[in-house]
Amino acid sequence: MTGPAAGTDAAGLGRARAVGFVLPALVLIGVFLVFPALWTIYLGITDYRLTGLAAADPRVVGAENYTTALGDDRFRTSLWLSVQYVLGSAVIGQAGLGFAIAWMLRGRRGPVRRLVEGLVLLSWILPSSVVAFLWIALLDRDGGTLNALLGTPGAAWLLDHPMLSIIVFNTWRGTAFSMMLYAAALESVPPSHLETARLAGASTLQQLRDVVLPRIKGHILTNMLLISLWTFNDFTPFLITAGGPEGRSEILPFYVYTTALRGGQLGFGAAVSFLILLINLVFALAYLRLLRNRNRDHDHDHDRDRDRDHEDAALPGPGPAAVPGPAAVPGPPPAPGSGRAPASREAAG
Amino acid sequence: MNRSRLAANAVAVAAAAVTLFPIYWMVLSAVKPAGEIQSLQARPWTLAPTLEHFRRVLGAENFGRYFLNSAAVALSVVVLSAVVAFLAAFAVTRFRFRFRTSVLIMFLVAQMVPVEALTIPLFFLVRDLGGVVPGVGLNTLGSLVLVHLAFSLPFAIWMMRGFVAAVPEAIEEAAMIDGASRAVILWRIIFPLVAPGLVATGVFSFITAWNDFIFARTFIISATHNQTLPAALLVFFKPDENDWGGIMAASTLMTVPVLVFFIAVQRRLVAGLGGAVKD
Repeated sequence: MTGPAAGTDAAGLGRARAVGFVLPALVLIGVFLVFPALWTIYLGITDYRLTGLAAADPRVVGAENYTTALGDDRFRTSLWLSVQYVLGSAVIGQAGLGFAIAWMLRGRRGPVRRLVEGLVLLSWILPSSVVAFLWIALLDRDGGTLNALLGTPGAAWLLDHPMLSIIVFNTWRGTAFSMMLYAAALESVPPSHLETARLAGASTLQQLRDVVLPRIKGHILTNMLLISLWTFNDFTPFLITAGGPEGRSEILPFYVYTTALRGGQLGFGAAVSFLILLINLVFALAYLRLLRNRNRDHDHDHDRDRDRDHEDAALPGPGPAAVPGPAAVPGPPPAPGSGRAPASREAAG
Repeated sequence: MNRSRLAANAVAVAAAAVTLFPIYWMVLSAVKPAGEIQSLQARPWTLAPTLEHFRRVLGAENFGRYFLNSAAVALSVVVLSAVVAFLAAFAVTRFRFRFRTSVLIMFLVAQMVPVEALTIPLFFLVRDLGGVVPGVGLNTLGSLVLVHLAFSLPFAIWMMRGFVAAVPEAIEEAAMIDGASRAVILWRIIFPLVAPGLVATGVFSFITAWNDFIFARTFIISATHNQTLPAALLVFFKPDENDWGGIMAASTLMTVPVLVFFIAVQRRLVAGLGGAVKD
């Protein structure tokens, strides 16, 4: 049964052992992530509540929770605020700042680089509850540090600009990841290429666009995917604004928290959670699509890069999610972006 | 050239200063005498540093116990996650089996589930699990380890794939020919080669587990001796007057292990994250 695998299986793993290796991870993810997620989907079509009659005997109400949510102004406001939050703090803030820092620090060693890197990372690794306290102290109306520094006593940052506050907060908090990813990406750009472009009279902007960007597209997309997902689900700023004042910073995770856990409407909260999951999925599919297209273009240009690109392409696989498990079909077609036939004999055997 | 270098340095140092400020403020508030914290003129320095807040935190609030709990959970998660993720990443990278693509997609989608949404089902799950398997039910540290482990895996496996893929298969073939057993190849040859990736993912899982607030609050209900640090910090929030000195001192203490862990691996971390995404 494992015979035909020999050529693809340098470590002599064998099918049984390979499955055994994946099994612990699969069981853990299945039990603690997938199963509760499915449970959430079920809860979403019930009127389950934390207390009262519906707690003892929840009723299936079908799509009612979904129509209620989609018709609720508060939900739509939340969604819009979430979009602002992701665009402002992740796409522009973290990715933009992260790239700027990585670009400025590129190719240098020594104390400045280590200092900046260390500090940016520091704001990322600090415990969330700790940083929340720090930011409350910083932005506080009376005796807040920012007011003391700017000489604007009584300016209520968290009340007047709640969204701006948490966007700046999350930018501060999460830039490290983008910075590190881009720093690594920029190391893959040969300095000689930049040198040549500079000698040819290219401006910094032109160098970025024509030399750097094409080489690090994959990193950019991966980074955008991860930070968008993280930011969309981010709950940390709840400790700072709690969604207030008057819901003006109530991004979607807060909305779920206040309706489901505080309001006790578990069924409704579950339905909204599922909507969040769907939105995440749309994000992910869009990025994966871009990533695949990139790989396809890339393969035509750089034959030698094939093997490494192949690994990127293998992740999304052919038609992710839409066609679950194409590998179940004997002899799966090569992934469209892979550029070389994957060793498909195993599935056939 | 030199002028732009200088400007870049200046901007970098300014950015660093902005970043550092809240952290500086934390340590400063932790050593300020109580009277000075309350005064309206917040000064960015203190002339009379004191350890009174630290003494109060360490003495009265069972801090050491919570500290050890948090450390035990976070370190267990790091070690288990490294082993489980490594095995899984190795299998999905080196071996094509049925449903492989489905498995990979599942890892990716699992990454997108909002944590808040799962809290309630997880509560019931952990409660019921505790009845079947001792040591992982409500009020146990085991429940926290298991749940954090599961949540750390999708990202860890995803990162590790890149690292395993970067190890040439020829190395394994050569080792096979030299008569190395599978276990030796796996743990003595490949495992060390992907160490930078393990460091990067380890930092992630350590930070998430160490900082976790939601699960600790949800699963540890009555057994206060099994409480972890972030939830224990709430003790200092009082309805009438928050004990900022205590909060900041406890926060500083909570930050130290993360810093130590982080400084130990900083050099490898940057290399690690870069290696995960090969362009």
